[in-house]
Amino acid sequence: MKKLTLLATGAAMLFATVGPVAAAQAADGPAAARGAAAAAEDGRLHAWADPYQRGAHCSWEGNKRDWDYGDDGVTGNCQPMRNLASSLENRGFAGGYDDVDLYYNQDQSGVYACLGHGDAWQDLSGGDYIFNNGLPWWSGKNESVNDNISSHSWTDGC
Amino acid sequence: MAGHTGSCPGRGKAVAALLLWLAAPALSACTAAPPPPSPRTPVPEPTVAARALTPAERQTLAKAEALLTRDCMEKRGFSFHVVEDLPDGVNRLFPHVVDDEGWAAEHGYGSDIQRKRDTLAAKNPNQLYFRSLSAERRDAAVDALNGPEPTGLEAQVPGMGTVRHSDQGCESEAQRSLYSDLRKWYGAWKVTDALERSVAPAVARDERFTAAVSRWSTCMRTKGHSYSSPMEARQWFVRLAGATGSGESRATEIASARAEAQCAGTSGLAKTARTLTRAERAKTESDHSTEFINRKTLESGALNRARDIVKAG
Repeated sequence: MKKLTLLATGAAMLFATVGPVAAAQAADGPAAARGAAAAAEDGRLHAWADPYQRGAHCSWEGNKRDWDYGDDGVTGNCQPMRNLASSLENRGFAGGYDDVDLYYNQDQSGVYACLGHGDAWQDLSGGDYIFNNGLPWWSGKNESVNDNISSHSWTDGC
Repeated sequence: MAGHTGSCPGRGKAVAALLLWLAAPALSACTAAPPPPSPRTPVPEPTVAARALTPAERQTLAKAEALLTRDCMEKRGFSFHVVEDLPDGVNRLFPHVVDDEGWAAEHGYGSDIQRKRDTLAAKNPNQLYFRSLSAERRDAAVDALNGPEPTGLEAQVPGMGTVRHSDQGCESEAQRSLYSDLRKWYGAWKVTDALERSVAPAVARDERFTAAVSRWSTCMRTKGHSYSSPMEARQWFVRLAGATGSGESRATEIASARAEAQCAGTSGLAKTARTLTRAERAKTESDHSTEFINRKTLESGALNRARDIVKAG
């Protein structure tokens, strides 16, 4: 499946582009919407701006150093997601690095929280999810995970 | 299997079990001989606290679960490979400080191990298989393995809110097959794993630990290495998430790690870390005894069947 290739020196226009697959499907209505959703669920980390998988929706197959710089373009609904996500799902396939560390800062730095393979956080907005990995003096310690994730990397074992 | 935990553990295992059961209300009773394994073993009632599993036993359970997952995926029309875990990296081997001079001399901070982990992860047969599938087949494969949507199972994780998972996927099928009570297993697994992860940060917050880190840092400076903490040192040499390293040479990495290990001894940091970790772990298990007991009971109950499954391959 063709994916967008994202430039590391990110142009801010990244999210304006829609991948060719999503663009073709957008023309077709409900079947296409289901197709787009299905295409999105292929071994990726998913993040939504709102709880319960609503609102802007980004998904990534690999790591991402800054959630403001777009995603794989599969959902067709991604917005700059840094410090915005309120629900997440790890839809990775098994093997190797299939759990995900979510970081407070860009570049996989600061405190982090781990989302296991197949797991979902449906509503971070209650404030009871805390970044619980990392040392006391790292940035973001004991901050709420809600609206505070800036980057992620795949790992092997929460 | 009857509601007892089987034969008495050997001395080494007993010590390991004892360390993990410092606050346990009751120790498991040793029975005279283990009952014969049976294909459908009922889950024992947690009337007697099950002993902690050894790493080897945990591996048996993991392998059995992977084999059951494979069988389920094949029934659903997909391939699935049973693969060894990745080797442990420095953060798992030495959560607070590298305190093994021999290991430091060979691995430094483990940048070599990290490269090996990255390579093995990239070549993982399940990931390669997955990427070879079409988009539609990938979607179906994830649905088959993880389940179609994250409902059915949930766990209230202390400090982390509610985590949810499907109960329809093959991984859940495998766990249901091994542990019988899938809901109970999922809750116990997620909660105990999260609590175990909370031990190291709790130790790092302790003022006895931070005082020892200061002494360690002073020792390192006298050896010509300027780091305020072991964490700062290793991040210089071992970059996770595929980020490029600092460009420092292997020789520098090893020299620094060897100094770290020496100072870990003389400053008392290694001993302090071990003592505080034991105490913190015991306190955590005692504060959340239900979930830890549930996990141990379910695991113990699954062990004989797991051995049979692994033997049958």
